Amino acid sequence: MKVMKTQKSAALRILSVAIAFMLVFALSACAGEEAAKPDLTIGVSGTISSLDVNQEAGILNYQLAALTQEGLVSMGNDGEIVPSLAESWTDEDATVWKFKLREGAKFHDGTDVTADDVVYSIERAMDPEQSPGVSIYFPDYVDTVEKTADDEITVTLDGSHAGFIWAVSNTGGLLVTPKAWSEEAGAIGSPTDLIVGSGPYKVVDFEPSSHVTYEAVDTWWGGAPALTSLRVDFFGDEETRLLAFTQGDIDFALSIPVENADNWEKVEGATIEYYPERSYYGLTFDPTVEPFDDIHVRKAVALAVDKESIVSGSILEGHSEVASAITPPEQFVAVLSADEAKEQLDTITQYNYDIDAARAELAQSKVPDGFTTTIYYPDAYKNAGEASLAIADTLLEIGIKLEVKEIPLEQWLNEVGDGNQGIAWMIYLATTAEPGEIVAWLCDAQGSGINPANWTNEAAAEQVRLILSAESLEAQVPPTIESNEIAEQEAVYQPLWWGEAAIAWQEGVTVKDFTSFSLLSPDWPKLFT
Amino acid sequence: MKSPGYGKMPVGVMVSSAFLLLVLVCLLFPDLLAASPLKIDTSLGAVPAGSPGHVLGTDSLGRDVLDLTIRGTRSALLGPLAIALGSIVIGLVLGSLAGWFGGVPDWIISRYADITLSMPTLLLAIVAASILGGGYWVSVAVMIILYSPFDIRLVRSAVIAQKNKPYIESALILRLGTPRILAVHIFPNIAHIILVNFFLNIAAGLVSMSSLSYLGLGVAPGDADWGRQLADGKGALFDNPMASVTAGLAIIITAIAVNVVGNYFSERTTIG
Amino acid sequence: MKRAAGYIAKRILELIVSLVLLSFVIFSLLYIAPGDPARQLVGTKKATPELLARIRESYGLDDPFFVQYKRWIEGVLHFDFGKSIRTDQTVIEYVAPHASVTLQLVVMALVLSVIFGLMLGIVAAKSRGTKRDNVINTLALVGTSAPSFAVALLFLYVFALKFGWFPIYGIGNGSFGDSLRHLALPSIVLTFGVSALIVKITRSALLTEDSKDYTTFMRARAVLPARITFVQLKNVSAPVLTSTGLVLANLVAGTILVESVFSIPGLGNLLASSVTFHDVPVVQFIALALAFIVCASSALVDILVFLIDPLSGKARSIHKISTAGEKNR
Repeated sequence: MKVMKTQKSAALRILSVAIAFMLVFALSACAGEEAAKPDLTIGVSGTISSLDVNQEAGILNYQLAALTQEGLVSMGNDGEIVPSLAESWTDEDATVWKFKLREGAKFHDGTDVTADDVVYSIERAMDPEQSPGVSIYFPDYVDTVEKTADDEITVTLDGSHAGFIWAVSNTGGLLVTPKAWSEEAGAIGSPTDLIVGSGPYKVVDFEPSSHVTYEAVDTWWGGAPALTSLRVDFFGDEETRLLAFTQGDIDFALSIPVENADNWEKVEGATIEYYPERSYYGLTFDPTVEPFDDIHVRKAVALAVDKESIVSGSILEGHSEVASAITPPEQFVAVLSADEAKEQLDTITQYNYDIDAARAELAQSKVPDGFTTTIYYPDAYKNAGEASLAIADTLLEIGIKLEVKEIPLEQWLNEVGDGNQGIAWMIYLATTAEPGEIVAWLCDAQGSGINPANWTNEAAAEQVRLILSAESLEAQVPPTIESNEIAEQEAVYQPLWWGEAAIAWQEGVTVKDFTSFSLLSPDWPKLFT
Repeated sequence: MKSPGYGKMPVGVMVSSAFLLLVLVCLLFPDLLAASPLKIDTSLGAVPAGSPGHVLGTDSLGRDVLDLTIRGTRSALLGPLAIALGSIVIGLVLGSLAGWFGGVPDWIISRYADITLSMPTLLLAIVAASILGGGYWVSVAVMIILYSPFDIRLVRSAVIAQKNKPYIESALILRLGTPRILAVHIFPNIAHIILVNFFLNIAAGLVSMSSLSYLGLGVAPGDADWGRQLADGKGALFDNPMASVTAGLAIIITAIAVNVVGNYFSERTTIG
Repeated sequence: MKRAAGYIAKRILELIVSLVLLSFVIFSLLYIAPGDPARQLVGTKKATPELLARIRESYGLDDPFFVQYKRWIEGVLHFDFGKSIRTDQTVIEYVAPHASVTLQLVVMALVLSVIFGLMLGIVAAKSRGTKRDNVINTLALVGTSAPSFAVALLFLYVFALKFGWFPIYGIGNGSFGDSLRHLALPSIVLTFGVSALIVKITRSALLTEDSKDYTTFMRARAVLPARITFVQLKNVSAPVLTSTGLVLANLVAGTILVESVFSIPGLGNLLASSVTFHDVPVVQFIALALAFIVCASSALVDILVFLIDPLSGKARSIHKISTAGEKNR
């Protein structure tokens, strides 16, 4: 008995040593030196692996680049074009564009921004090898790019193209870096070669899939920003981001999916603001794939989609708008108010949920008894996944079996319009405020590979040509509406909803004048006061 | 270790067996227990446990959590069962070959087992499943290959131990064929070791497969599966925490129950 | 001595064969992956036919399989793993910061697992049959049975969110102390899952020693219990060391899931995102590196065990039976 007792006390001793160890461990861990807390910590969903938009051109890359880099022009808070590195510019018939460089603009490495840097950056942006991300935004109608004076760059196009101004904006394809530095740097925008720009903030530290930290510079021509240090934290999933926000680890969150936003509203002291993100969510029917080559099949599927209940039900919780066309009304902001635009869009042919009409359409088609097909959705868009399941549920009622599969976003992007998918998702977030931006791709019906539906239709293609050669943004409106109409008559796209997103901030942070353009405009840190 | 007497079963083992029986019923006859089919109701959305008609509430698509969990049993356990079974079949075939014949076949098979045994199973399964397009049975196949070396070693050493016993020698004198000797005489003597390992493999397979489906590999979205349910349920954590908690508990309790029953067999057999 | 040299040589040869086989498996996995490899190498970039042709040319994608494999292996032997498709950095440069995070996490978890595993194993053995023993056994059972992601989520909600003892995500501001603080909870989650193995082995090994003559003899001579335990521990070091090797293998796999729950920018998260980006050179490198660590450490442990106790072959096979279930975590 006695032996047992001493044994027990030995065990107790071991236990107390362990507890002491745990305490030391916890204490030493807690004592981790508190680094200076940044003025604002921003939580973003997803991650980036390069700060160079030329290399990786996701929407998040653009948003972060807007803090550090500039184009010749940039997008203002209301979607309008505002001067940036170019102080002013002229366009002769929208063909010969002359940009006058701002005096005194400086890169973060201390050098002046020169016309040579700009010409170099445009050439780099146009090179598909160096700039796989943005080269597609540099349209093939550019003839020459030249330095025509120490402070003047002249770009000549092969005809008149009012939309060209977007190509040299920070939201299109031009983010100027110093020529000398760029030629020296190894992997531009990586942690080893932190991006150098001329914007209000410079990058101090970048750890992919963890964080980026920024510091305000005093050399920016627009004046020093109110916040001197920023930190952006990347989150792999929404749940963790919400938890971090609940704990007060992040002050501001952007692009919160609306289906999660009600959870954010429950956080004490938090303010949530919803805004239309100028996005299009819809189904694409590829008329080159059996049995979608039959218009009755396309119409039957379109009619069997209950978009009203997807938007108002638990999937989107009412925080998006049922789409009556491809182009969202806010896309017309430069020329029309959202209400005026909505009025025009509502005149376009619609397919509203009507299961009997759907059944009747299918009965007329070549597959009256239904068929089986597959839809893939990108993993980053959970709401598209849930909507797919809801759509599969109603399609089953008319005898169509829709299998739903989740694939990585990157794979989905690669497979858009590959000609193997009869029914597919199209999710498009507009970056510019050009009315014709989305239809210029979706309705460019010159055949396979040109548009995501592999659709051929001369009338629609002609409308797109009108958009691209328009001399002003106003002139883009009629062909934009008309190409929308043709697409619906042919039932190649079934618009589902125009997306909204939300931003959230903690007590003590003030956000003012937030619009869907704010995050791409170079003065987005000015939102905070 | 406490040695349970014959005929007397510890409470833990009894509870575990009862639970496994219930799981088996869910696996074989889900229609008995769950309403069919799983209906999506987006106008309902996620409601908390205790709502009328939904004991455990619903998930964000308005599907009944209890039904979803019951229907998820099949996807959660079919793979682990196949893994355990497949790895035992491979173990029996290669293990007896190696143990019985010795020599070159033994050397080759043993080296194969040594090498595969040192490979990180879950890591390779994750890489394989994500690269090859995330098929459920692809992951199962990978895990069978990586689980089997242990069964091979087990069967091999058991066969060697039995081979030199007198009864086998007399069977050899009677000129009974090798397959017959293996099947009739040796197999019954090693069956208990295999059974124990079978259970351990199911438990490990359950954890591995649910890890994969938690990462979104191997099961289609919307499919009833515990790992998937746990991951999807995180989105409805505030509205109905039971959506993911139920799935998490199902995985943990089933794995524990399988381990408890497996351990019980192993203790019984080492005594007996 | 000769026997030892022979054993070590054999084990190292086995390790080399394993690694060659592994490299072959990993390379062929990516080779037979669905889709055009050239397109995968383009990644998310826009693929023009010219770009695809250029990539086929420069990577020699039209060469026969074994020619490609040979070229890749030659690169690997010269520590040339190619360039990341996503960032254009060399793979080593790109992976290194992530690797250091995972290394830190795994080392912390390993240290904790060994300390707690040994301690609880000793306590359980010394108080066999009591309530304390039962509690420890039950904990070990739950630890081996519960998947790491479920435990991670549970601990995240309870200890980080409800009690606020630990940070919720990430690795903090990059300073050593801060990352220690951030990695504390994830490493505890990992410890909970893997230390059970050490507990079980230590407990059963000590119980076996308890019934041996030398223990009875020492007890009869009234040697201090702590001293007896110490001697016993020395005698069971071989199986305990082997289980530590298994623990390391489990940690490497477990870290992938735990990193994903805690948003830790380690190798596991990088592997997952590189797979989705089809960043083939990075996937190959990480898979190979992790597998290398597992294989090499298991070889190292086997050699150490052999050196400690050359007659341990029997003990090893017994303990391997008892750890059948755990190997595959």
